[in-house]
Amino acid sequence: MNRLNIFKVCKSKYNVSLWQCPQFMFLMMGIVIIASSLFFYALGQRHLIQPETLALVVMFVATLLLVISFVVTRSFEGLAETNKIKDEFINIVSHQLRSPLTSLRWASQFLIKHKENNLDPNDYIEYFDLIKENSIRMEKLIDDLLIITRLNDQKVDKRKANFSLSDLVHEVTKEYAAVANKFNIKIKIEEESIPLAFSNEYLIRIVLRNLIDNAISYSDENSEIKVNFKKKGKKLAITITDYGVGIPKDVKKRIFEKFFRAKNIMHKKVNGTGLGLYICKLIMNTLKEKIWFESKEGESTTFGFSLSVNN
Amino acid sequence: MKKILFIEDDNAIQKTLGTGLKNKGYDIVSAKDGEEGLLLSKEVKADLVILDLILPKMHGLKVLENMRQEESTKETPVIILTNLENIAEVERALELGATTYLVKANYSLEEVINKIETALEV
Repeated sequence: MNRLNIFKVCKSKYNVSLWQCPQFMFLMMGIVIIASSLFFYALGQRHLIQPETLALVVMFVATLLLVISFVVTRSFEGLAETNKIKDEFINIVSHQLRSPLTSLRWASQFLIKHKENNLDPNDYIEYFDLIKENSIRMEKLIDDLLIITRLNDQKVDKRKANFSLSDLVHEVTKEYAAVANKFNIKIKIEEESIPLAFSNEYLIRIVLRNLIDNAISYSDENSEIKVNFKKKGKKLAITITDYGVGIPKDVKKRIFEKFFRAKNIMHKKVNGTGLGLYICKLIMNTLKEKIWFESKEGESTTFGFSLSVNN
Repeated sequence: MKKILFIEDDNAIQKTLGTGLKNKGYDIVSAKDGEEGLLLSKEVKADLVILDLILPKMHGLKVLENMRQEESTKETPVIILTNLENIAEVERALELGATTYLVKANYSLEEVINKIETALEV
């Protein structure tokens, strides 16, 4: 019954008024089609002698109006979906930016009133660290949003050149060594002689950062992450495997969506931007290369992507 | 000395608000996730609970719902302290018996401390 309540559907699904709602527009167009068919039938009865011609005219008019209504309501549906996605995006981004900003503001206010707050000068470092941490958090979100915009607008430099994927993996892994060590997670990179990759090193670095960051965040403590390389014909594949929470079957098809976070990992990385995998997918699509994953919930997850070998 | 259970995962908020309240003479018990917060709410006889919503392990509203089902915590005053501002969350929190819903971004640290002190005086 709720699905038949158009007003409720329009409000809950798209958050638009009736006249902007695709379902309501479709209903209105249906009424117009029926009314037009009856009108043309009545008109034809008065002026046309042959019933077959009359039937054809009515059918033609009805079909034409049906096609028009389909096109119109689809475009309304597209606009309404875009509007809803935009509103959700703004809500999420505002919350994600507000949280570190509030932390920055309160830490600064606390330091300014250091005498009233009985702060020992030795405590200052802790508060400055909190300010630094939250600044980095905001910077990361803004960087992620900017790269998404540039990728979507095709304004990113996607020129390709030869580079060592193995060296790049080592560099990125070093960046995350401190975080991995904190949880006693060992990153094992398979040492193998592999050819140079032919791709965009800057963009692949972003992909690797996101995949390694995720692998560490969703790994259990005292576990390991394996990085493997494989040459298959003209392609070089890299896989990153963690032995952590895994991805539930029912959400696998949503894993590359913007801001999507599966329920089973909410406790692991609440402060992440939720954009990492979306960015990886966008980058691989831009470079016309593949990205994939395999996962078993509670056991392991492997993310992989392939690049062309040196040109 | 009045006791406050502070359920918040953000280090900076814990540190600044927690220390600010301690300086006012309150006994602060901290929890960094929803599950720990719920457990502590039953163990510690808090005079007030300050509860964030986006928490690891258990959402704040779920914590509040569970608290309201427990005999020992169903009357405990709860102040929601979050940056979520959508009407659905506010309504749900108030339905579940939250005393106040405060959006962190709308207040200074001092203003929040004053509101907490006022809630404890009531």
